[in-house]
Amino acid sequence: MSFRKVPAPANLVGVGLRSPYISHILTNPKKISQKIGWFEVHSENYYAEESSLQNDLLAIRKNFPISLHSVGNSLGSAQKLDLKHLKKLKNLVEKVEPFLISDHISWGRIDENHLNDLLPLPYTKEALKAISRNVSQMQDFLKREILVENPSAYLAFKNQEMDEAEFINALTKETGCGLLLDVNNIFVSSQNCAQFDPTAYLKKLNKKIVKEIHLAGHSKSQIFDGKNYQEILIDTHNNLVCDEVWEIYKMAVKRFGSVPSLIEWDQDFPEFDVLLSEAKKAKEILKND
Amino acid sequence: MTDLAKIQQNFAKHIYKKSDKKILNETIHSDIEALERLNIYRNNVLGNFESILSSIFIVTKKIIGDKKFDELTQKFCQKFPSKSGDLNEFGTEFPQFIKSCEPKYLKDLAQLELFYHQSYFAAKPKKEFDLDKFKKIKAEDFSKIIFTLNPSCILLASKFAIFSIWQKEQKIKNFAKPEFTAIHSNKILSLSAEEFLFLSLILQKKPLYKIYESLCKKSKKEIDIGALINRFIADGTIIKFAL
Repeated sequence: MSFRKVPAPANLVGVGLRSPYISHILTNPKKISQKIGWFEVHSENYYAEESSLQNDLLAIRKNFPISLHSVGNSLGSAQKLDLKHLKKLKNLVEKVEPFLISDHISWGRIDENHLNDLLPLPYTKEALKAISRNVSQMQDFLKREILVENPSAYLAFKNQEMDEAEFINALTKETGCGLLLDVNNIFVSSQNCAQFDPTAYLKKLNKKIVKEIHLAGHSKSQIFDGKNYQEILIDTHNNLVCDEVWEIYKMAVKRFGSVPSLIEWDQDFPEFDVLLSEAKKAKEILKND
Repeated sequence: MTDLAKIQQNFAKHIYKKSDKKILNETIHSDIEALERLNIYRNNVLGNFESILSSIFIVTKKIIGDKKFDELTQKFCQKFPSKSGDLNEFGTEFPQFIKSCEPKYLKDLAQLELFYHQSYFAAKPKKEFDLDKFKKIKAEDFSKIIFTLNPSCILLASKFAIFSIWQKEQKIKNFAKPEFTAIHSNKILSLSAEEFLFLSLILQKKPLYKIYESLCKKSKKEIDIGALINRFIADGTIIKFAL
């Protein structure tokens, strides 16, 4: 099936649209549009029809392309999708006309209960079949291509039948969906589970599947393995992008070309200028591609 | 190999009940390490639930204290799991859940805070009140007017001074006095008993003359119906009228 496409913005660098910044963006659209090409929102925050939040988003949409990034469809659940939830996304898609729609390679729903988080999947043929079925259903329902985001992992399952890059290649091939490559998640997972080298991971991914890149900061914590304390990275989106992640980004841009790239910041919000400064760095790297 | 549904069930069971450890067999890590790693997911999930409840029930939390609130939210998350992929919809049963907690007004205060949170996500009326058309109504038709409230407006009456407590964000001595509120458009309006009755009767689609009669019967004071109408048109509580 071929899906409707909405053109990507000319300025490929965007930032996450979060509530503390909304009034600033609404009052300074021209000034901001010189620095930022687009915004991405967590779609669930805007499902309430005709709410002031949704009205603000539609007002911002008049000046900026928007990407809708969902967190609640639970694509990796063994069970089928929650169509009531998906219908809300469809309503928003029809209003916003986003140039990208995405969710995660994770699960968060069991029976009728939602855990409202991005929980890890074992990379098995059975999990691949389940998530492929759900991704296809979501694309058919929305009549749009979706992107799936690689997760940040804090544990590894045993009896896995493929690694993460192989799983993603198979999923994108089976469903025709694209990959939202989160380079911070690659770094976090590679450090936490010591299972792969980020360079090898990027090389293994099929070249044409990457349609968007996320850049974010993380924080550090510790766990006790019974003998020693180990450092563990947590995907908190509350920090500057670290040097190692910028290096992975440069490698990704070199391999996959210039694709829309987003600065994510979801808690401990800084001044908007901090996001603009991070966006500028990303833009420089894209320019050199 | 354990099937996917079973892995996910065991994972979810561990999130809600740490002592359920079947999921440990599915990871490559030692039991001690796996528990620590699973704890990151557990803290994220429960932390998200506690965080949304803290952001809705701000004053309720201040009244009972952080420790008691954390205990209650942990129990609440176990008893009322989220039913939506949208975290903003979580917590609707919380006021009922804490109904037996002290102080006595806690349930009503939490209800007020929940309605306030929900008003943030409610639909805004598409049209503003048509004042020009309203001014042209003939004097003899005025008593027949039927007003319409903002569709997201919720009226809440309590035996306790919950608006005063909410406004001051702390306990007050004289809490055993009734207070009335209307909640819409991300604001809470404090109402007198007459104003509450006035809006309740509008909600019941009563014509203005019936409303006036009822207000006169209930109140010992002279009723200034014009002032009531003006106030609630001005603050967006009344959004429409019909004859």
